[in-house]
Amino acid sequence: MEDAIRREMVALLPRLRRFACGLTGSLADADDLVQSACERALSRIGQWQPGTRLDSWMFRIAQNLWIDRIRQSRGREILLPAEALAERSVGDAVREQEARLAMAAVRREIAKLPEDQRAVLMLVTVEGVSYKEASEILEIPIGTVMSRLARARLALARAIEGGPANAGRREESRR
Amino acid sequence: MSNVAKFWDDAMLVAYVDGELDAATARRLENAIAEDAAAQASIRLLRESASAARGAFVEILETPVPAALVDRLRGGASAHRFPDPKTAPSRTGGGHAVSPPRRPGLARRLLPLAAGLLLVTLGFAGGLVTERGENGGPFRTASGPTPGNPAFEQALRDALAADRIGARLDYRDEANDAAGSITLTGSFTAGFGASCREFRHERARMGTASVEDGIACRRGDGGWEIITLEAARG
Repeated sequence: MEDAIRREMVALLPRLRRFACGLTGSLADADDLVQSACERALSRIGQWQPGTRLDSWMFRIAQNLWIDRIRQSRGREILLPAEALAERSVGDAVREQEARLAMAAVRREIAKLPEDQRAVLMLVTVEGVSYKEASEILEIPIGTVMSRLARARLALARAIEGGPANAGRREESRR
Repeated sequence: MSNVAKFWDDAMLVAYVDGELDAATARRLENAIAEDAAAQASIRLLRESASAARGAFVEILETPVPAALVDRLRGGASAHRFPDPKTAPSRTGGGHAVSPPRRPGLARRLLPLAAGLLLVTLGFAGGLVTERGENGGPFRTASGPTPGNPAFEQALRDALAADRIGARLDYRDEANDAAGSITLTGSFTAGFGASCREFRHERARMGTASVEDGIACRRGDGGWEIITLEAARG
């Protein structure tokens, strides 16, 4: 039984990691969070109820751990290292890597969203869970899922349209 | 313009875009906002940002999960052990990482969605290339024409360690009767705050010259990974 759950957890890792990456804003922090989430999940494996969704349970554990960390480190800069948020000149590197940089720019903008909006955006829009599932994972009403999601999506769109995702185009010149 | 009282808000619009409204409500909303420019603009933004957010994480999903994470799940004290990865056949002998389940067409499906917004110009069909080259272990690329070429890898590692933009480093690839050079051409900070270097790889093999441009980025663990390596344009 436990072996089966472990195998299912392994299969979930890529998605859990993607979710964690959206929460933390960096892949290194995401791996750290995923590791903690796996450890917590294993230590409480008896609490998972067979027949319910393991992925939702794991997402909730990761989300709760992340919130704990934010609380613990209140007052400390936790999101992204300053250098990642700063608008560095990426002009030198653009050209055919434009798409990759645009993706990274979108991730940066997502990292700037408020924490509660980011979690909803990652679950619903990136992970594709339903509003109802998201409300259960995050333990918030569906109406709150909707309003946070709307704010996140509109803010993200405006940031992208106005900003760094298109920086490559603006800084086409090379040394 | 109709006289319909505005009964919707952004939350309802996002639910509409995401297909979370029941059919009757969705139809009622459609009728009400048909000529409402502000609502239509919001819907466009809500659609665009959904595409962008999904597209932005494609490469994360396709980045191999660190073996340590997998091992942690597999190697519980009470559970019986899975086959030791060290004894399992290993292609490279380098840091073994587990690739996420392949989802054929995922990138191809998502990226066109994001294309208008992100100015995506790359074909990702070749696969995003991310594998760490740590502690002298092999770099690996999915699309690069020189995977597992030790001479190239060592030269690239040396060039990255020297970290001198503009400096050219020659290598000889005896095994393949080839020779090449690597020149660091640029430096920038990319997603995740990772420090990255652009490089040009010029290679001659059996009388044929080829030029590739690549990007390598430093990972949190200090290793380098080749992010892209493609035939140079122009």
